[in-house]
Amino acid sequence: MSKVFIVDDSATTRASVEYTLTEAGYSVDTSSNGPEVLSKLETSAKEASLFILDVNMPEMDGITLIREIRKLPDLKFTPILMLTTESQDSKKMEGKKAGASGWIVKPFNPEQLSSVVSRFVR
Amino acid sequence: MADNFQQFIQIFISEADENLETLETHLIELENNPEDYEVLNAIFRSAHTIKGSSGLVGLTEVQNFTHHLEDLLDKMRNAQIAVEAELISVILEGVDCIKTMLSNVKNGKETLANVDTSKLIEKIQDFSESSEKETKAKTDDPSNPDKLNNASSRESYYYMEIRFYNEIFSQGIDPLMFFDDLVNHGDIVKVQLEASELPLEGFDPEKFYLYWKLFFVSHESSEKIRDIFLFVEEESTITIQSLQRANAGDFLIAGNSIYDYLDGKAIEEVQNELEEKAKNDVAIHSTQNKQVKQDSTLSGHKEEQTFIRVDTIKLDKLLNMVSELVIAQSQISSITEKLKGKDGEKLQEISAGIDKLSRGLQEQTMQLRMIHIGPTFYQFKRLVRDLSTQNGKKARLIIKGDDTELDKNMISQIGDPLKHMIRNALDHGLETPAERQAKGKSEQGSIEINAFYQEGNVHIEVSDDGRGINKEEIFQKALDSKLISETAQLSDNEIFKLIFHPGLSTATEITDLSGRGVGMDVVLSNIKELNGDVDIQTEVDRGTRFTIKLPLTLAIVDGMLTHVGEQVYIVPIMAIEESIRPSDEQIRTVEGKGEVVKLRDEYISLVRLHEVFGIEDAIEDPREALLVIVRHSGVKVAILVDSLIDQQQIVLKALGKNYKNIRGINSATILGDGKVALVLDINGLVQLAFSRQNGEAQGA
Repeated sequence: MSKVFIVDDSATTRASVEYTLTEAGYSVDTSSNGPEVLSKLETSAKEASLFILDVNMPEMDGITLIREIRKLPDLKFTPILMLTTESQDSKKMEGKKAGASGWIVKPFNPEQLSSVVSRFVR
Repeated sequence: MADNFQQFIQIFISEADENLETLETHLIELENNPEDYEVLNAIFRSAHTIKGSSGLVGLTEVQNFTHHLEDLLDKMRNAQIAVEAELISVILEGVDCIKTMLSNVKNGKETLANVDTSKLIEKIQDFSESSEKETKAKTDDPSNPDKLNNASSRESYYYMEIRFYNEIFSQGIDPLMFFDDLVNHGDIVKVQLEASELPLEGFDPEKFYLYWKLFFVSHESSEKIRDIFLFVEEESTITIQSLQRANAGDFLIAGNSIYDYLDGKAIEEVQNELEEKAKNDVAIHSTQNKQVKQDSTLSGHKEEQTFIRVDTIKLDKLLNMVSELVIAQSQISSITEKLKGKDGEKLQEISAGIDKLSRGLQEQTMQLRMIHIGPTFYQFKRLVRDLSTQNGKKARLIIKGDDTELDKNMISQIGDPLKHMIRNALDHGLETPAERQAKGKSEQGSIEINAFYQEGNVHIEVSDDGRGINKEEIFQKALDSKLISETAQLSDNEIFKLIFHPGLSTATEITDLSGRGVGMDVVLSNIKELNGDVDIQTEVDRGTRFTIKLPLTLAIVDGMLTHVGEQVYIVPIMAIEESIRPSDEQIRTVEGKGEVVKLRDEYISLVRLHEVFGIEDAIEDPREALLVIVRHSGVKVAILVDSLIDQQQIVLKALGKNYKNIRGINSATILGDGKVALVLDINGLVQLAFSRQNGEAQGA
């Protein structure tokens, strides 16, 4: 079963993404902040097929987190999706340079989410 | 632009014709080997191409109809529908339907002028839906994009080049992902993977070097399609070119077909390194995505010969001019031969050189007109299938020598006679399954067609393993209908050849198939028109073999030059049996037969050429002249001429319209000295002799 890793400081977002993707048949792991993810990188996060992470997070922003994830050889080619709002075009480009694979604009509906995820997790 | 449009419609049609032929041949092959996935794939590809390119040239009716067929074929490919005879028949019907539509387009009629596709589409859908129950779960899936792609006339065509950046992998992006997205927005007509940028040295497995070229059809605007690549667009080079109708045609014209266009681009860009790099070619793994088809033949395709299409009229003109050059050259030769001295010798040398060159040129020009007989043969598979089903016989067609090359004109004229011979073999040659069983043969009879070169001729054989021809029966029939006299000494071959005589049919009952008013006599005269001949070998209960012998070209024959008074007439060597100067006793006049010459117990009608053509200064007494014995359809005629001159190769020239129907004259030629001579039509002369016997009026 493909594992999707969700990182977002908003519990609502985490819950809704988790619900949608679990329904769609993915195994889901969630974290509320960057450092928590980093601590899992050597263990559970290592097997992730996809990361979905919020760009704006306290403690460690999403862009930095992407850079950290990309440093790991095992996760060099793993798709990473950013969650952004429409006004954050510059963030998109920044994230891309850091190694993001794409983005999902908030707010999104469950269908959109599943369809994007299914494209990245083949 | 209207001309342009017409032009690419034509190019499309000739491409579609080829695809339809492949389709037909493969379908019949599939029926014999239902498990052959490769063949099924080839069938699908042909249909897919027809659908794609018909849309490209704006023939939406063809596109929509083919879409239904493609759908069905796709289900067969996915093993949702089993291959069976009835299904094949429906698809063949579909092929016929497309053919009719195309011929309508060709003839400037409405595409659907005399076609009602609705019933056939219903049938096709019935088959399609028969599989649906099992796969209902799949098609009910709302994420299934198929429905979105289905035909509507508002589709646009795009040519796209998708070049991602080297670093795309380290972005966590699988380039193929974008194809999934594309397919959600339309249909990929054709995709080609380009490996030309793979580095020969310093290949980094973490980098991406491939790119794609593809034709895409979609309802979406190019901006919408571009959006798919939004995230990678900046670093990548994504070209999306919208193809207008006329534009699409230009693509076709530029390279004959989409494939040529794609390949042409590839060749232009990668040139000599291509072969090296093709080895590193990485295939798209698109198992999840059946609409992105990586044609495995594409990479090999580049190494194939390239072809250009040339109007046959141009080839005809070229051959005509080259032939005249050869004649003019032989005139020069005959003059220079008479020259003496140093300059004369030099001139002779040069002339001999030009002679060689011009003959070489002629040979090459003739080569240009040579094409494979294969496609002519393949079409008979369908014929044999249809006819054997129709008349309750079991038969298979074996094709050999399909790569034998013949003159283009000859190919187009040999089709009908061959068709009739195969029809004849099925009708009269092969027995019914019950009869065959009683004889201890296998129920299924076989008909074999084969083509090969022999002794400077092309031989085409049509053989069957049926009941053979009964010699006595034919002989008796010929006697009854007074075609031959009881004393006639005929070789076996000559007796068998009587079946080519008009009005001599050995069929005990006229079937639906043979009762079409085209007899074997027409077959023979067709072949004779090609300066060919037919031999028959047959053995009762073992089968019959017809061997058609054809010259390599229509334009040149060996001729015997003869004098009739001041005039020169040419007798085709093929027809000549012998030449004699008769004695007194040999010439007689027989009641109801006119003037005859007795030759070894055989009476041969005498035709006085000088009378036929009204020449006054010719020798009238046969004992002082010569009789050229010629033969046509097993019937001999003695032609009275003054003398024989020489034997030489002659280039046939068609007579002008006004002279076309002169009996006894076939064509003209220009002799070495520049004079025009007429070539005799032996068939016409034989008929002339016969009509005289029957008391009809003589003359031209």
